[in-house]
Amino acid sequence: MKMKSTVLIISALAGGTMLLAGCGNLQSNPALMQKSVVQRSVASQGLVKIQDAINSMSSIQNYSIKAQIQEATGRSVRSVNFYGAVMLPSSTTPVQIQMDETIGGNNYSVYQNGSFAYYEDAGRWKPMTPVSDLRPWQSLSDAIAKNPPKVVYQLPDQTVVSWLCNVYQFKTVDLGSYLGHTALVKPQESLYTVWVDTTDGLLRQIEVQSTVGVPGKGTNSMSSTDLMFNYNAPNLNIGVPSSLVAQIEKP
Amino acid sequence: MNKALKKWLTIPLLLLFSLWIVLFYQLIFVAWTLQYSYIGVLGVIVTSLVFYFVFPKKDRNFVFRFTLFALMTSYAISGIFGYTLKWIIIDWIVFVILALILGRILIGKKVLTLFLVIMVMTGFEIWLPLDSWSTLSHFSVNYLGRLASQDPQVPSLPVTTIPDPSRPGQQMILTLQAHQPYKEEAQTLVDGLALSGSNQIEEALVEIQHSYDLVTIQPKGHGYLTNFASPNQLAGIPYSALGSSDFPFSTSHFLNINGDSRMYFTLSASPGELLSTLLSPGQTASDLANLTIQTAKNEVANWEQLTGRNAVEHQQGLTLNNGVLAGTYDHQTVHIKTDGVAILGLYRLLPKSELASPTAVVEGNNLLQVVTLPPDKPKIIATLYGSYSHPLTSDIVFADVLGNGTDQLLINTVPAQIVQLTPTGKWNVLWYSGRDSFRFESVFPQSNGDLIIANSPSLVSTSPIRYLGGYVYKNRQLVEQFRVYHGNLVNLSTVHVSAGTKPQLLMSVYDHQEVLLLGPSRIPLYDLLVGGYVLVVIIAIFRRFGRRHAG
Repeated sequence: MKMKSTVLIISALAGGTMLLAGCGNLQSNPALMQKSVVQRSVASQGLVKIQDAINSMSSIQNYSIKAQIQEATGRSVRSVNFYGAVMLPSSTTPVQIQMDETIGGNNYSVYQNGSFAYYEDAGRWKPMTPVSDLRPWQSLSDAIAKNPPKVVYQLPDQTVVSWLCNVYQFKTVDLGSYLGHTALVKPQESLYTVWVDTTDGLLRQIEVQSTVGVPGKGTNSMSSTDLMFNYNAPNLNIGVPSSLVAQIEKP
Repeated sequence: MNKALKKWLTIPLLLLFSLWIVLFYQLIFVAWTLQYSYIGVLGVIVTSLVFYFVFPKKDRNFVFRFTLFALMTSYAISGIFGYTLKWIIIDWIVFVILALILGRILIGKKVLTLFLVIMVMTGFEIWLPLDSWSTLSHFSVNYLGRLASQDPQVPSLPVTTIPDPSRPGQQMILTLQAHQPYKEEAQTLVDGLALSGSNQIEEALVEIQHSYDLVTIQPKGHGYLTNFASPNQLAGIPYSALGSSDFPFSTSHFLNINGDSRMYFTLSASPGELLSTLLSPGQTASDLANLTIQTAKNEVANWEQLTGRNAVEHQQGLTLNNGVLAGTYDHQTVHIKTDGVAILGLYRLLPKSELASPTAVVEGNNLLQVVTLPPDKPKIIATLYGSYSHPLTSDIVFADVLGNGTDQLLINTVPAQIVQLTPTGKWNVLWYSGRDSFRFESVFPQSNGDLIIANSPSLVSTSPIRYLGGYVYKNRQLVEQFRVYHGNLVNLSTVHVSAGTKPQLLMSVYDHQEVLLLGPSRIPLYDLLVGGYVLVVIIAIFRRFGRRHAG
């Protein structure tokens, strides 16, 4: 009995070792690389569908976003994360913004109400240039109108959060930079991917991908992914953060 | 406990046993679980059950409890944490008292034995923190620098090397260390900088708490010596090697404080500007491109101000300016227009029978070009393009994985690929990664095909977490040579710091502000651990039979 169990133990050990040894080789597998090209088809009505989606966004007065800007240069991939809510300007209300951002692993907050604009850095609020001219959908349709894409692709439908979306993809040259610097680059060609909700025809997500050559560093790839939700939340309340009030109150 | 057991397992044997348990757990059980997921867990369970049941019944209770005590102790010590030595010691003393009380109740062994187990474990974890023990399966740890600050401004420490003038052929490590503000520092700064007529006094004062010292680390005797790096030492390295930790969202700035180099970061764009960019999809790419180019320009200017030298990159007499590759090679003039913005280097991509000289490889906007050099007439013989979905950055390792005397390109697109240039100027893909998160990091040169150092995800699990691995290329597959189950290793490079001609691996640990230098292993630890298991099983079997005969 004892002998038998010992033999069993040894053989179980040997078997286990053989099972786990030497199967870590990595076969070449082109499937991932080809996926993005294989799965897309030309959508002849794509541009119209996108325009319709942009037009229907004019009914949106406020919304929340969860977004990421990512840049890769050489070995490093760095990102900025956004999470917060935006109230677009109207005839009766100024622009209102409450946004948490993570830049380089550090947390920042943005609060803006009209021209009253501050950001919080390590517990201290500092004044900033207000975000102005906020027309997110107009900006996209202007770019398309200025340089209409030659071809629009449709990708397989995707579910974003809980919305089943048609996914369209196109390339266009954008409107150029208005970031307040002198323009150092020509307007960039970018690959746009837009997610259009199949039920209400609204935009749910916008992705922009592009690259730029940086002297001495090589290719820098850039992408921004903006997920939008909570459209027209009835009781959205973007209030002044109490820490900002406290800081301003103090002499 | 009976007398026979005591005869067998004296205190030193118990200490050895506890150390073996922890190493076996870290290097074998953790590895199986990470590599093979649930299959690995099954292996762990089988191996543990065998280990438990192979002992005669009366030993099992003690073996089980003592094993648990050793493992729990190892983890408890690794969890002791404090910014000052005083608190670490207080934590440790409290832990020892609790562990001894618990151990006395749980195991019933003499308190002295348990105390010695804790001491041995503490000693080993001071030498090497528990989360780095996994590297011991294939390497020895030559240097581990914990250069952390309480307020990290960079996600991982950039690390590079420069030639060590006192030891020809060897290098010294160059990295950042969190600056420790000292008393009266503000006064010293104002005095020193005012004397030199610097206009950076205010900046320097603002950044005392949040700056990094640029330091060199070199072997000295049995240890390593850390010194402040002088601007002169920094002049030889490209500005991006240390100065681009959060490029392009943060801009690095440098201060020369009485001959020592100091670095600090500021945001390149305010959170409001970044938000504007995000909320204007019709200009996002141009905004980001502008920000990126502007930040690069500022960082070059800051680096030039520190080192006092022009930061234009030279590669063996060649420079690239506005796309023009110019200079002299093999005593002949080179002047050719390319689409490049950066020189990746001079590499032999085609065999000597095709081209007499290596080629220059330049990178432009999402493309890479190969330029022939004298004695051949300089011309572009091949161009490789990336796409927006799979951008081609300069994240490329050049290595002779075929062992035929030419270099292939190990490209970290997502997914990664190995690409070979053919004499007709066409590109031939040798290997595609089947996983998005696989990354090439470095190579150890070998005559029959370089050893590829990669960060590679687990086999079964779909988790993107990567662990260190060594592979050689053979027939469209990467054949595994070793695995080290340590995640978060970044900025890897092959260096020669302290192991003579043998290659060492220099890296930094993401999120941990550590710099790690791994050298060739001195002892076959993995085999010893497996041998230890076999030995323990054999001893246990003998005890069974011994007991049966006696009974």
